[in-house]
Formats: sequence, structure tokens, C-alpha cells
Amino acid sequence: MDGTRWLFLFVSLALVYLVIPPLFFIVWTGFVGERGAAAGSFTLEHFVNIVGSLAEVRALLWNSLLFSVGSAACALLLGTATAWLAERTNAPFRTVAYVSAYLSFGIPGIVKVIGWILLLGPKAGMLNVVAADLTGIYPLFNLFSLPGMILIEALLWTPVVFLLMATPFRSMDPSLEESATVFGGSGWQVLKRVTLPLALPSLLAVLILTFVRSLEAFEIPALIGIPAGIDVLTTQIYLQVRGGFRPRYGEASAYSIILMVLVGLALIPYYRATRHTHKFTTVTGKGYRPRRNDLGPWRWLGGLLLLFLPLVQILPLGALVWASLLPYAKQPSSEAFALLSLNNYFSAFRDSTIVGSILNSLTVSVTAATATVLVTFVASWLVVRTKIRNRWALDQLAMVPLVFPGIVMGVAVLKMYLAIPLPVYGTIWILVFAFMTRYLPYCMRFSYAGLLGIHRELEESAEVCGASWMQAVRNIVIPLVLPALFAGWIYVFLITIRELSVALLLYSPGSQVISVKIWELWENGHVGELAAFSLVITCGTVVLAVLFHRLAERYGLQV
Amino acid sequence: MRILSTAILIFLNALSLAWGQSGKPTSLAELATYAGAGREQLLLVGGKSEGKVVWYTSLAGTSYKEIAAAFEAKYPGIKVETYRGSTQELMPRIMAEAQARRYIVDTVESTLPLLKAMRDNKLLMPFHSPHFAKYPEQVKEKADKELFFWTVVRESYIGLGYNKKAIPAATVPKSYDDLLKPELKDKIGFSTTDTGSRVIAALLKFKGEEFVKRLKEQNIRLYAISGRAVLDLVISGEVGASPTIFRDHAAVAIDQGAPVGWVPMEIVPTNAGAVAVSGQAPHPHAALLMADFILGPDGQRILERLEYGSPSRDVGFKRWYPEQGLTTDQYEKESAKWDKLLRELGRKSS
Repeated sequence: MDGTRWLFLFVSLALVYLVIPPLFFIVWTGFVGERGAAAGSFTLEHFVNIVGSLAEVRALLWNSLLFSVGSAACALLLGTATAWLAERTNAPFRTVAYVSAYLSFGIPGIVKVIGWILLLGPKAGMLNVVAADLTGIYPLFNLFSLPGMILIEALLWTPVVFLLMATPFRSMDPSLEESATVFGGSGWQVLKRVTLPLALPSLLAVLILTFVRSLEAFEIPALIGIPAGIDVLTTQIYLQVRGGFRPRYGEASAYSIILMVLVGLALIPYYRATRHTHKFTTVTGKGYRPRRNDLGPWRWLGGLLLLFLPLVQILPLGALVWASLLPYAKQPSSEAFALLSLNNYFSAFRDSTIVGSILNSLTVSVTAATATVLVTFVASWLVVRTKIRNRWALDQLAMVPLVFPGIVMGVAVLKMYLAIPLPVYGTIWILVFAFMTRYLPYCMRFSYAGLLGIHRELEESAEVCGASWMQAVRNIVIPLVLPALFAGWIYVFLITIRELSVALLLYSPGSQVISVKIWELWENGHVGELAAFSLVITCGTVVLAVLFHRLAERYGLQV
Repeated sequence: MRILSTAILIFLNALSLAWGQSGKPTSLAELATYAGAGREQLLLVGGKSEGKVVWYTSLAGTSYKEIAAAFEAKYPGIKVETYRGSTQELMPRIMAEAQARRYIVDTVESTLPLLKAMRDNKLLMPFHSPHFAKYPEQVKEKADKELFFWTVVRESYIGLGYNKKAIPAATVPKSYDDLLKPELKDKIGFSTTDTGSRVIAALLKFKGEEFVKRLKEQNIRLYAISGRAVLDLVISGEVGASPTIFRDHAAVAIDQGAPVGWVPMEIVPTNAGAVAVSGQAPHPHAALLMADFILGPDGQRILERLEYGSPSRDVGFKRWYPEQGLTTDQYEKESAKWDKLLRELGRKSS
């Protein structure tokens, strides 16, 4: 067997180990009795238990769908409108909008959600109290409701949609729109008949992506949905494991299987939408510059709408700054100003578990990102460059984790390491393995795209000159593909450093990561310390995001 | 060969004799029964070489931090790694660790249902403490010989916490029936942890299921956070009143000037918190030293200052222990029922 075949075997085993056991254990746990006489034998009792009340399951599915569709639609509307304003009009403040959209990646989701709760809580939310003083309406907006959940989830996704939609708007060939104008089309008709249809595949793909992500969302359903009395599938899974006297893994797995089926079904149209994107190619060899529509006097209104993007980042952080300075929650007043101090910052960083969580997060994220990039690079190289039979199976295997929402991955990996005799449970390595599995598909795409861009001729030339395949890979492929690999590394690093739903079921005392520590502080009522810790972490992750973005710009990366 | 094996046997024999003569217990089982002189010094020296103790506790607010800090100040060189969680959080964690044979916890301070489940699963080490004599027999769980599985060190009383600005004095409930007052509609919040489900247990037992269903008309809001964290929402005014607030947490907040009050209802669900030692404690010396510290005057002083109760003291209201008379399996079934009712109480139809 030659070197590439050994490599193929090794990478196949690594991917099988990362992907198959979690999948097996989630299905196994869903269909096998846990305790009593039925322990270890096939059963449908977990499914029977959860559909015991059909009305309850119906409400759960309905809530999950309403929340996901609503959030996806709102995020798409806000993100697309702002992207269009930034790219295709002469509205001011587009740089501010871009900077805030990039920076939003550095702010952990849980931090923003807690900030919004402090702002829009129906009884004591700062904005509601101010609005009540001004308008007499109380509360102006009740965050603890389905519309509240949808609004905040949509606000979390708007910067992402903005960045995703800005690309098609920017790369659209203006001659198509110009032709429509020449033939007498009004501005609205051109937008409706040319611009939007051209952006349709991107719109559809982003809509489905946001829908799937909202279906998988955990922070908002847990922090806002539970007080609102609105349960969705992800919170039900969490509550089965952490909400009773003993964990009900069987029921958690049964809910997980339902959620995975829903995610899988939603991903089918996503692939259909993205499969034929070449038909909508508008970037050609021709030189062009997309035309910016002149909004006339309306451009300042457009600018104000663009300022919406930084505003929704600053507002929740502002609420956290206020909370971090007070011993207990209080509305701004002269009495409150007398209580302001930095005590929460000192007490937060005196806590060794808080400092430990930062080190744990860095270790976990750096290791997970490096290992995932390494495995997916080798797998992509084998798929793209070798002629080994069945090499496509590697690509397909790496895509399987797409159907694992974070909380489901948590249950699956937990069950796996409780069952197999490897000393991983209770250490930070369980998080590394879980993150590797979860982000395999994304990293695979980065490596794959990077490799496709390098023609085989270069390696062939090296081989003709007497280099071995290993030397060709080391001296030619790796240096050329490095920017794409680095982009994948940054992506996994920035996502895992703020990830909560996977980590929440897998951490142990001593192995808490940042997001889990923030969750613990919220759960235990240490809001002041939480706010202080979150703000320091946000500063750190934002600095990292800026640093990575600078590097990415310098080397022409797409992150 | 035979000479070599004889030499090894003689050496091992001499080693075990020397061990016996030194008389120093080293394993957890030996240490747990050790009542000889110099116990504290023995545990301290061993604990220092272990370097840390991992303590799981259900104490909330500042109490567990203060206990950890006082322990570290008294016994420098032994770091306390605290993990705070409700019974519902500690239970799956401890069971999972046992299943994975990954033993992390040394000392546990939590409610009796958790400790009973640990005992039933052989996860506790019966132990001796020089402080046991000061505790009445009924709060100690007897094991073999003169050893105990646990001893109750504090009681936490669950009553009604309310925001003085949001709830006028005349509206403040004095009994569970008062929770149905129309003025309290949209103002009541529950913690969904075991604190909330134990209040539901009390309502179910003393007021009946129909009462719990009527309570739903008040638009009860549930929060997946501890009772201490719900108190924060009461302080801010986000929640007007909550019957899932601990007396000790409210007392500390009142001392700090927070605008809250606390009243007991006609029945006060009570969490008895006890100290126990894990059967597989990875830091045995430090584990027992920590248990002794909480049971001893240092730990008790902190708990008393923070207004935790004691089973032997009259508190002026009627205490009720939901787990009393129930086996672990029965408690599990009952608590599943309470949890379900609690979830239904907060659920909105969409």
C-alpha cells in the first residue's frame, strides 16, 4: 500500500471516529430502554413518552417553526435591505455598517441576549421604563413573547445576512440593470424584475440557512422563551437532561431525532438552491463597476437605516456596562449613580474559575480549529487530488454533522463518552472532539475550495522534476492553500470561542469555557459580575476579530 | 531466583510492618474512620500535598464563596474548586461522572434527595467528624459503626419575595390563597429549578391540583434560573413577587438596601442541606478537612451570619420537607409530576 492509501485509511478512520459514534449513540439512546426491566433492549417508550400529549408536541413543533420562519424572514428583510443600501445606493455610513457587522462576530450571542433582556424586560427593561415615562404605554414592547424571541434572534442574524447579501449585490453586472432602464423600466421595476431575481438564489440560500440556524438556536429559547412560556425543541432537549431529578437521555434523544429530521429536510432545498448557482453568474471577464442608485433626499433616511446595524450592537452592550457598575439591578437615577463602582470587575476576576474559563476557551478553540483544519485539509486533498476509489465518501462523511444542532451534538457526544472507556469525559478534550465534529463540514468547504483553485499542473511539474508527492504537497500545495486554511481556522476559532449549546451539556467543573461561565453566572444570579466579565471578554474577542480581519484583508482571504 | 523472591517478600513484609507502626491512615476509607489525635493536622498535611479540594454545593448567593475563601485562608496551600448547582444540575453531573468512572468531586453540600440517591448508588463514603457530637441525632444519617453518611448543616426556607415598589403593602400575600389576588396578575415569577418544583409540591399537597391550575390564570412567568437569580429580577422590579425565594438570600439583599421583602406562606417548603464525602474522592485528606470545616464552628458561623436556619431552632413558621418519607424512586416520580405541573403553569398556547 502506498503512502496516499495509508493516509486515506488514517483520515477515513479519523472521520469515522468523529462522525459515526455520536450519530450511533443519539439513535441508540432514542430507541433503547435506559432503566428497569427494559434497560438495553429495543423500545419505543421514549417516543411514546414525548408524544403522550399530542397537543404538546404539536405546540412544540409549531413554536419551533414559527420562531425559525419568523426570525429568518425578519433577518432576511433587515439584512437584505441594509446590504442593498450599503452596496447599491449612495446612502452614507456604509463603512460604519460594515465595521459593526464584522465586529458583531466577536460578541458572544449569550451576552447580547442578556443585554436585550436588561433593555426590554417588560417590567424593568430600561427602554421600556423610559418609553413608559415618555408615552405612558407600559410595557411598550414585551420581550418575553414569541415576537420578542423572533425580534432578538433576527437582530442576532441581521449582520450575518447583511454580509452574505452584500456580496451578490456587489458582484452583480450593472449592464443587466442598465439595459432594463434603457428599455424604460422604472427604479422599482428594475429592482423587482432584474435585481431581486438575480439575487434570488443567494436570497433563498440565506433564508434557509437562517431558518436552520434559528431552528438550532438555544440561547434565545432558553433565556427568553422559557420566561415567555414558549417551548421549542432545543429547550425541550436541554430540559430533558437538566430539568428533572434524573436526566432523561432517552427522551432527549427522541426530541433530538425529530429536530435532526427537520434540519435534514430543510437542508435539501438549501442544496437545491445552491447547486445551480452558476446559472446566475453575473461576474464575467468584463470590467464593470456596479452602479449606485442615487436616493436623492432619501439618502439620509437610508443612512439612518444603516446606522441600525451598529445601534443593535451598542444598545445591549450599553445595558451591560450599566449593570456591571451596580451592586444590584437598578434604573438610572441619582440614587443609582451614588452606587456606581468597579467592584464587580474586581470580584469577577478574583474568581479563579472565571480566569480559568478564559484559558480553557483558548485551549479548546485553538486545538479544535487546528485539528479540524488539519483533518479536513488532508481529506480534501485526497478527494480532489487522488484517484483512490470511494474517496468521495470522505466528503460525504464530513458533511453528516450538518444535521447535528449544537444541543443535539452535546447529548450525542455526552452519551458517547459515558459509554466508551476513554478518559475524555470531565476534561476539556470532550469539547475539542465535539467542536471538531460539529465544524467539520464548514472547514471541509474552506479546504476544498482552496484546493480546487490550485491547478494539478503545479504538482505535476514538481513530480516531473523528481519531487515525491509529499514534497509536492509540502512545497507547493500547502503554501498556496494556506490562506484558505487560515480562513477556515479563523472561522472555527471565532465560532467555538463563543459557542454555548454544544458546551453546556459537556463541561465539567474545572473545564468551563467562557460561554458556559457566563451562563452559570446568569443562572446563579450574579448579574453584575456577569456583565463585567462579558464586557471584558467582548473587548478581547472584538480585538481578535479585528486582528483576524486585518490579516484576512492583507492576504485576500474570504472568511 | 528463589533467593531474590524471598528477599522481595522480606522487604515487602518489612515495609508493611513499618506502615503499620507509623499508624497513619492514607486511603479514603482509613481516613474517613480516623478519630485519633492530630486529625486536623494529619488532614492538613495530606491536603496540602493534594493541593486542592473539589466541592459541589447547592448553596447560593455569596455563602459558598465565603466558605471557600475562609477555608483557603485557614488552610493555605489547599485550593477550593467550587461548583455551584441546584440538585437538578448536580444530580446528572455526579451520575455521569460515576458512569464514566471520572471521579472529580471530593465533598458535597446539597439537599437530601441528591444525597439519598448518591447513597443508594454507593457513591458516598460514611465518615467520622469530631463535630458530629454537636448535632442532634435526627439530622445525621447513620451508617455502620459510629460513622454517618451526612449531617444537615443548614436549612433554607422558601417563601415569598416581593418588590416593595411593585407590590403595595396591602397586596403582599400572606398565604398561598393570596397569590390569586387580581392585583398580582402578570407579576408573579417562578424559578424552574427544584426550588420551583418543591413549591409546586407544597401547593399540590396543601392546596390541591385545582389550585395550581387556577394559579395559571395569573399569567405566571417561569425563569430557568436559580431562586437567587429570580430574587435579582424581583429586586429590579422585572418580577413583582415570587414564591420561590429563599429567606437567607432575601435577608442579605435587604441588608444591602435592596427594595425587597420576604414573607413565609402558611407552609414553608424547606431545603435541608447536608454535608457528605464522595466515595471516590480523589483528594481524600482535603475532602474530609472540607467536610469538617463546614460542620465545625468556622463554617457554621458563616451560614448563621447569612441567615441560614437550623433544624433545631424555632423559626416561627411551619416547615415542610417534600422528600420526607419518600424513597429515591418515589421522590423521582413525585418530582417528575411537580416539574410537569410547573412547566404547564408557565406555558402559553401559541
